[in-house]
Amino acid sequence: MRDSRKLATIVFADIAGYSAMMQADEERAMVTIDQFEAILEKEVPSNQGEIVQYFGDGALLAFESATDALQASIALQEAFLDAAVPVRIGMHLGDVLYKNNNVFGDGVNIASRVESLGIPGSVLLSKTVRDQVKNKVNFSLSSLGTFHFKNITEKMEVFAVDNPRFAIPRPDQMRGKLEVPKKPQVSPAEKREWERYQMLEIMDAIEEGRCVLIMGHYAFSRPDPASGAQETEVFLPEILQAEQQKLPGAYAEEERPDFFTAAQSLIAKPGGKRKFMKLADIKLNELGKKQQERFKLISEIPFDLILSTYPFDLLHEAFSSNRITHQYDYYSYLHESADPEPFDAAEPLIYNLFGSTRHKESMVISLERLYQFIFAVLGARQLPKLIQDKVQQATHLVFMGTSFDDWYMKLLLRVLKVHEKDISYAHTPGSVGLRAYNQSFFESNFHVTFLNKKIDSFVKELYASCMEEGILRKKAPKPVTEYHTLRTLVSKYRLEEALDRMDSLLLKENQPGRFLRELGDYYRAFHKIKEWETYERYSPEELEEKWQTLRNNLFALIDKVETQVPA
Amino acid sequence: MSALRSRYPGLRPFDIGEQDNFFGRQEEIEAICRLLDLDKLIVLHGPSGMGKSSLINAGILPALSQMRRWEVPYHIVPIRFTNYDPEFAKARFKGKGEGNPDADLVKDPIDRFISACVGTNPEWPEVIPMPKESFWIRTKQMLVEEGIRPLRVIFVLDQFEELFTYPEPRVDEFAEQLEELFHQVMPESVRRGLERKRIFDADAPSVQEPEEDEKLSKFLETIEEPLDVKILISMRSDKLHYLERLKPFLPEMMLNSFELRSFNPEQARRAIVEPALLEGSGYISPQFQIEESALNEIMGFLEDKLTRRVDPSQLQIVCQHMEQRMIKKDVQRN
Repeated sequence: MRDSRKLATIVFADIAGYSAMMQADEERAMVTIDQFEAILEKEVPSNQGEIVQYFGDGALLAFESATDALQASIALQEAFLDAAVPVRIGMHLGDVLYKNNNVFGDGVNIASRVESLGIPGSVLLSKTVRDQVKNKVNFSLSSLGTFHFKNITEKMEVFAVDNPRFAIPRPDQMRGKLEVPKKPQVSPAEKREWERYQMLEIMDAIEEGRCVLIMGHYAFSRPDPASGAQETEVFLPEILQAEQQKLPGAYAEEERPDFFTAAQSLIAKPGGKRKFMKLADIKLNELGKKQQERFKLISEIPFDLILSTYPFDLLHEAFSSNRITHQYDYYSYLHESADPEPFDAAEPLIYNLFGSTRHKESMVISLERLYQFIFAVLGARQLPKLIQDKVQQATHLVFMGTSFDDWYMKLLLRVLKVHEKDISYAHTPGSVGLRAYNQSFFESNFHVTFLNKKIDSFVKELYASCMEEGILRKKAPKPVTEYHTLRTLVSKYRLEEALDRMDSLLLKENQPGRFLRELGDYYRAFHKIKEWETYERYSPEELEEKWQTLRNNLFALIDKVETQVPA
Repeated sequence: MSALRSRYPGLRPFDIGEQDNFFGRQEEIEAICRLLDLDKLIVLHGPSGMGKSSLINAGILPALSQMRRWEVPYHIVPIRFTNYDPEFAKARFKGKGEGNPDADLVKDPIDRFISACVGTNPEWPEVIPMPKESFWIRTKQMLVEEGIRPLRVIFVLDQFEELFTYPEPRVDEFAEQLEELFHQVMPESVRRGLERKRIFDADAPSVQEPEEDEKLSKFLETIEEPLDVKILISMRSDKLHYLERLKPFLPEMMLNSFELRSFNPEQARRAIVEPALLEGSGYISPQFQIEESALNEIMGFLEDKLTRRVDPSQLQIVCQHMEQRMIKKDVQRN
């Protein structure tokens, strides 16, 4: 056994809060440690294990069999609970080196980290141990999520023994004890590099058509009129709430309502439905500059599929105004949804999950409808196959402006099968914080990485990466207006062509005659100056002056006509 | 005509109204009239001094106005072109700009055509708002004004080769306008003009003098009526190739041409003998008769020895000289 390598199951057990106990009640602490050691001495050998070392308030045990180790740990924890000794137990199976009555190696380190996640009364085990024992023991295990341990490269899933007597750490309880990502240790340069890699990874996924963008309610905002030029954003649920509170008989709501609650309370008010629809009809140009710019950039990033949880048409409008070819469709919990046409980066699909203003009944704008939506989407009326497939095949999901604090997010993420993804990136909008326990919950259960960035800087960086890679979406050529053509012709001195075209334009039905009269004057002037030029009746300078005057008059006329006559 | 005139005009061409002493071209007149009856665009050509202008003025124009085969005669508009001298025009025009009365002296072919149509009535109201002059509209206006129905006209364009002394853009413009004339129905440019008028009228109905208003409505009534235009072009044979330039606009150009040749002996004899025999007091010389021997002598002198044809201008010089001698003789006798 000495000075040799072998595969072993390493178990760490330590008394929680021992130092504090020592300070508070030394005598009790001494009794406790005696009890701890006595139980170990009794249970470990009887389960074919070995106590390798004691260190202060803890002990390191080794077992040749993972099953033995688990059974011993359960027996130990039960004994500790009987004796009211607050002990955490954690174990891992790995290659270790026995030397001088001690063991070393990664296996030992990981076991120690697994144990550190626990709380008094818990038995935790790494996925490696769980894989060995899962068919051999008759008690259930529950996953706590995947963790990135300090100084250990690979992430590891950790399980807890699900025994009525044992404790299972809640995510918020584990958080303090997870020693892992000590952010201050990362230099700004390293941090930037990491962020850069994250961005490149997202971009690669986009390029391969394996990334879906999910736009949340908090991606849509309008400038706060009170903030003036600074353009502080007000998000939709806040807008709805503010409107609701203006109405007579309004009641104060919880501090931060979710969209559905806010919408529902507004609609429930007399006149609230109208007010809501008016807000829903917000046009692109009524949004703030920042928001418009954000949409413009997003429209050029070549996502194949954009799922929007916003039942309005803004995104569609933004794409159209930026001349990006696309399809636009929506889910209706009331009706069978037709499959959209096949979509790709060249012709992406914007899909409203929560209905569309085009079909008001389809809009999911109350809790009642949200339930109906969830029943439908998980049951009889699943999302169209093409969209399901796309989400299924996606390796990455990017959430923008989604509030993960909203309770329905967990359901939505289930619908999207987010837990099966390699990784998902999300950012939370600036004014909406994310509660710590929610963050760790989504991090561990749905593999969501929260980007510590403002939505606009994220969009800009992604846009810049795509631009560097040359994969930005191509815009449709700018439609050349007749007026643009006219101005070009005039500036290129192709006056006769310009006059003829303008004549045709003004000869259409219902145009004011005064423009045509004015054009007639210029027409005649044109022929006259041309004749003078032909016969050299004036000096070249004089002629140039006459031409210039005519051109200026024409430009002015084009301007006048453009403002009054649609091309 | 108050002034007495010569029986033989000499090197000057016969004028309009001088058909009574114009002899020897009956076949040509008939041939050209026949061609004009059959087709729309005829080119009469011949070397300089062959008498094209005389033939037109004293032969074709009177003949056309009396054409038996046309139940209703065509209105006939003769137009004679003059050459363009840039230096002269510039000197005339210098610093005076538009509206210069001297500009009439340097009238360009388009203006010339328009004033031939407008005649003494240049202040015709603008019936259809057009960006530039339109031969089609002016022609129709003229016919309506003159009360000619159906709307038919023959333009006789003499010295047409002078057109090509003008700057090319003007020549092109002229050809374009000429081409429109051959449209029986309304040309596109006029159709647009009418649309303009419709919009203007809807915008603000124009106020016209009642008399003008009547003219206008008369004109507008005929706007859809087909316009029948024929053109006789006369030009020097050595400039004939210039017509190629008009082909992009008038592809039928040169399809029908007529070469005017010198007199044959029979024609020459008539051209010498007949004017002298004319009665009347309108001539500077008394009536006289040319004896056969004298005629033979003149013919012998004028005839080309090879072709036996007689050059009309030489004939005129000799005959004019003969007339002068007759006048002297007459004076001595009295």
